[in-house]
Amino acid sequence: MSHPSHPTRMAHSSDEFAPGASEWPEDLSRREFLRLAGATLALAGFNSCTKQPLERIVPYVEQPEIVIPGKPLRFATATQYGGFGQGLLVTGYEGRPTKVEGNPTHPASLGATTVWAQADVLDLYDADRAQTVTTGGAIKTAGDFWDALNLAIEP
Amino acid sequence: MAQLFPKSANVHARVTILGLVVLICGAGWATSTIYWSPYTTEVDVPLQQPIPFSHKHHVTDDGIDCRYCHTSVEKSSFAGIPPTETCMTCHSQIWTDAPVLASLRESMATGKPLKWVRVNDLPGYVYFNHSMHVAKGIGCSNCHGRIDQMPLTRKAQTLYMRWCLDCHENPQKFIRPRDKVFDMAWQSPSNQLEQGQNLVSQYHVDTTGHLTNCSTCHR
Repeated sequence: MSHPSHPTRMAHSSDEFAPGASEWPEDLSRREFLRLAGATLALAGFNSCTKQPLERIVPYVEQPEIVIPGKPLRFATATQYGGFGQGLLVTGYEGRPTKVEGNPTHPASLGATTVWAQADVLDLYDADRAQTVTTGGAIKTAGDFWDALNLAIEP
Repeated sequence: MAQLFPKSANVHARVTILGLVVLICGAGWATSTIYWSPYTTEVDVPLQQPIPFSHKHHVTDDGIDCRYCHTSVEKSSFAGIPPTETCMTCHSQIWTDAPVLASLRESMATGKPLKWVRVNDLPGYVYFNHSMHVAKGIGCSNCHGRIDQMPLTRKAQTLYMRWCLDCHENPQKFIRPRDKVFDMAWQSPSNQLEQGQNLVSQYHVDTTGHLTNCSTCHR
């Protein structure tokens, strides 16, 4: 963690605000600013005069049988830890994973997890996470993956 | 010394005072009228949907149970909107060429879901659970009105917090036997209060303050 007096932190401190953002603009007097701020405060209550925007409900085309909309779905999965698989249970809502816990039936962990496994849920929303199957940088299909896997198992 | 105020000042003062009273009352009346009007509450205002689905036709004419489409109403907070596949159980056989169902067929063919407009839209800070209400003897029609008689789906109640509390404060006024939950035509009997009181204790509805606790709904 960088300390305030750390040289790199100091070098970046001038970048904290956008250019010109920390200077008072010439054409806005102090009185004018207070007038506008006062008006903002006085009119803030009218925010509540808006109606809720229309909300859409988008159902499945073909709903998987195990999915009950509104109910969490837990599934068993694994991540790699120190070169070994770590059995996990992930909780998801409508396909969106929200919580990682240990799998109690996994013989190595008996339901325990590590801090890294707990934080793995963030990885799932990482913008840099792979979006597709690749081999040597080239985009492949899921079928290619299974073919390669089958080939690896039964050469 | 001449009078500071002319005689007409008396009239001016009276008119001004009266005018102020009228203005304040008028503003109050106008606010309340707008607040309770369908413009604000959206009660009884049908919304534009991708398909003009008629509950009246499907429930009353065809006799389809609520749970055929709203499958998770007894299991989950969300009653569930049927997937395209559910509509297709019948509509792959009947009305297969109906122009009004074109977007349904397109959804099935392309795999793109229909986007319905939410009619009963609670704000995000309100927790509501369908399964709990259904399990404790609150019927569909308590909140959704006679949806079996609606050609186009519309909101039946304001969903204002005061409306929720009407029942949360006195559940015995609205509770019904569990086997009547999906009965659209159910009317409260003449001894509703007495029967309601029995059902409240029979279904273990906690009336000691839990129902009106803030965090029951705002969690």
